[in-house]
Amino acid sequence: MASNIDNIEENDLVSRLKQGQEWAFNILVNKYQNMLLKIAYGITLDREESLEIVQDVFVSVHKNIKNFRQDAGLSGWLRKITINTCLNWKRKWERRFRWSHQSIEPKDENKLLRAKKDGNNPETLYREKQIELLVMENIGKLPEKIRVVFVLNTLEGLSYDEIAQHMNIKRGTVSSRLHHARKILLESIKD
Amino acid sequence: MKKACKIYDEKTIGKFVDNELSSEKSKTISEHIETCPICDSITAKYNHLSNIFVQSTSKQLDKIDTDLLGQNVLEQIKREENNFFKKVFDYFSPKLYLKIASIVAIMIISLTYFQERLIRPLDIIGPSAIVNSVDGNVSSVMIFETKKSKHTIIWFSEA
Repeated sequence: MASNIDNIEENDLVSRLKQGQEWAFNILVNKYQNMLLKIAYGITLDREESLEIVQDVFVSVHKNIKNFRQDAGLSGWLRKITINTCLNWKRKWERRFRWSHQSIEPKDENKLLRAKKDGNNPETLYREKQIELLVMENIGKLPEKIRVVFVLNTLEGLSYDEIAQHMNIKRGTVSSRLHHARKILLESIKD
Repeated sequence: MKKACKIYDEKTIGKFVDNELSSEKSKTISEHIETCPICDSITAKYNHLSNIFVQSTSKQLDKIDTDLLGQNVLEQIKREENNFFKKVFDYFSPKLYLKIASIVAIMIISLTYFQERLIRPLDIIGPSAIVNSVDGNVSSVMIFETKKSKHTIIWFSEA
């Protein structure tokens, strides 16, 4: 029942967007900006860049809403545009390279996963921070295809079938890419 | 040396973590994990990775000021709509461009193909000169007749 109501609301929103109603567009931005920012940030790992991408996505949506057929739902359509915009973003490699060199911490911090979770111990917090930096840095180094699958699974919580549909790949490929991503990431922070 | 579970591989544990297995299989693996330190460790590591990514992303997203996002988007749209060149481009839709390009291509091909037949004969409307008779001593006469333009060229020299 709830999904029906959501559906009606979405249909109504799309119809108002197609009529060019500005307030409908504001609702669209408010409703989906966090979801799109999450995907954009997950892929680019750059705040400024993800904000620009999301802005471009909404401009693109405004231009193309008349061609939207509602087959995959509004969120699916927006997600797809965001992923494509991220992957086509011209400056992505340049900025990602810059981002991956922002860390001033030494990289030889091994045995990080052994950090004991003993409250707010400064050493533990420091180690946790190191792990986080290493994981994020290595997510940025994952091949694009693998990273997108990892982002959609981890940040968006999409099922293998949904990811397969989005990326136009097989379910087995989704599983393999996720396995590959985890293997690379764990390898990067292990002993 | 890395230890591996003899019953379940890492990929299957990954599917378990992602809740991509049947409820029956999930239950079996869940019970197995309680007694298998290897699978338990893999599950913990996979969950840890996900948590790090989710939390780190969330922290970064909190720093993004989205208050002006909608306003910026609308301003960008208006700027683009008021752009003269954009208006011209939009007026000529991509389909029309395709048609124009096709017509131009056909014209170029046609002109190239018919060049020999249409353009060249026009250059040569008729004979440049007609010699009816030759006075004086003619040592030799040579006549060339081309197939296409039917030109007759007379060459002679006085002795």
